Amino acid sequence: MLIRDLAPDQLGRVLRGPGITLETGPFATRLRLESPSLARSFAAAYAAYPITTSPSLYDFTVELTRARGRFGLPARRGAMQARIAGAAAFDPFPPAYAYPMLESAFNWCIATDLLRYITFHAAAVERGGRALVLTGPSGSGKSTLAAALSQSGWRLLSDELVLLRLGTPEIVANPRPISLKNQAIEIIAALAPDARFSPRYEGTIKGTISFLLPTPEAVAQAARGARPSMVVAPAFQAGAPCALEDLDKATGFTRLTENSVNYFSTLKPGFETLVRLTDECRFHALTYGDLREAVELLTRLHDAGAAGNAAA
Amino acid sequence: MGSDQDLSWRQWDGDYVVFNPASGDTHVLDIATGEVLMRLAAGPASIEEIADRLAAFLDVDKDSGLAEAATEMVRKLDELGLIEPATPC
Repeated sequence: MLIRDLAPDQLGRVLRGPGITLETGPFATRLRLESPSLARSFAAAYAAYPITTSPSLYDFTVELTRARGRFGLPARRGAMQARIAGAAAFDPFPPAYAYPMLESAFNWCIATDLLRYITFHAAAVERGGRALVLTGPSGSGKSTLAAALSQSGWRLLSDELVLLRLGTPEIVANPRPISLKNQAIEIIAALAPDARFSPRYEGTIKGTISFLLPTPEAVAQAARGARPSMVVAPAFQAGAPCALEDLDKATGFTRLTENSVNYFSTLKPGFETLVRLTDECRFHALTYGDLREAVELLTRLHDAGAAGNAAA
Repeated sequence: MGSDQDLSWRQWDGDYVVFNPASGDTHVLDIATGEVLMRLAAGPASIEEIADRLAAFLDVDKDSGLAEAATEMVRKLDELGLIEPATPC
């Protein structure tokens, strides 16, 4: 069953009551949402995702409920609280930011699930069966670039957190809405007029946020991961021409460990998995000022590499 | 000096990456230091023997500079916890 198969009233009731189990890629999340407006935002963003309403096995539990103040009374001004595995997570927040906080709660669950994956602060997209990983610090433009690629012939595997299955250098697909900030929202809307977005959330600590919804194809193919063939560290610089620099493998390997949330907990299996990934990948640093140009360059490079591999 | 730890490593181009299970640390070593570690992973060796290996690897004549370099590399590997002094039999 998909979210959209439930009538809005029915979905709202179930979310306020026993909750649903939402499937995103390899994860099943038991979810309870008390706020009707949050339930509507969630339903709009996740319409094509599979759920079960009956009791089922799940990896995480996430609840967004009315915050409680002193003596267990409801908090003032309708503040809300996220709870993960039953415990309060993050500070209480205004109801207007409930949907972005729900996405943060999902990310938190995945980032702290340390046992099965090496998790990177990165984005990943796939084309022709092989993945491109975009790594780098916040603000380097990787989400914007992943969003643009996901609307230009590439399939979104995941944004914000990239999961590499321990033991095999395969990236697990976990396509969820991409968080875009400030000018990036307009840039992607102009690049892909048919793209679908969440409402805009203004005045957050990161400025204005809107979530680009993954394409239906990306959601439908969430069971299919991909092995990476290229890792790129992008750096957006206004007005800069597109410039690509090769990185040697040891540098690429080190950058990946630096961008991992949990590499140092994965020990030898993590080292060996990352070595295999590094063996199979080319590493580049990309400076770009024009998004369309960057998309074209990466697509050309990826397709040429795929053609080279096919010929070899 | 010797290394009896169960190290894992990979060499790419001019660098080695090495995982030390005893500490959980991953190190990046230049190729010459990596060669010294490989020599010590094969069995204990004196500075003299390590300098021989370096001379052969770098394809240069052995001189006092090479022994000094070998000493410095061994000191660095010891500091990283990748090798330890061997006990004479």
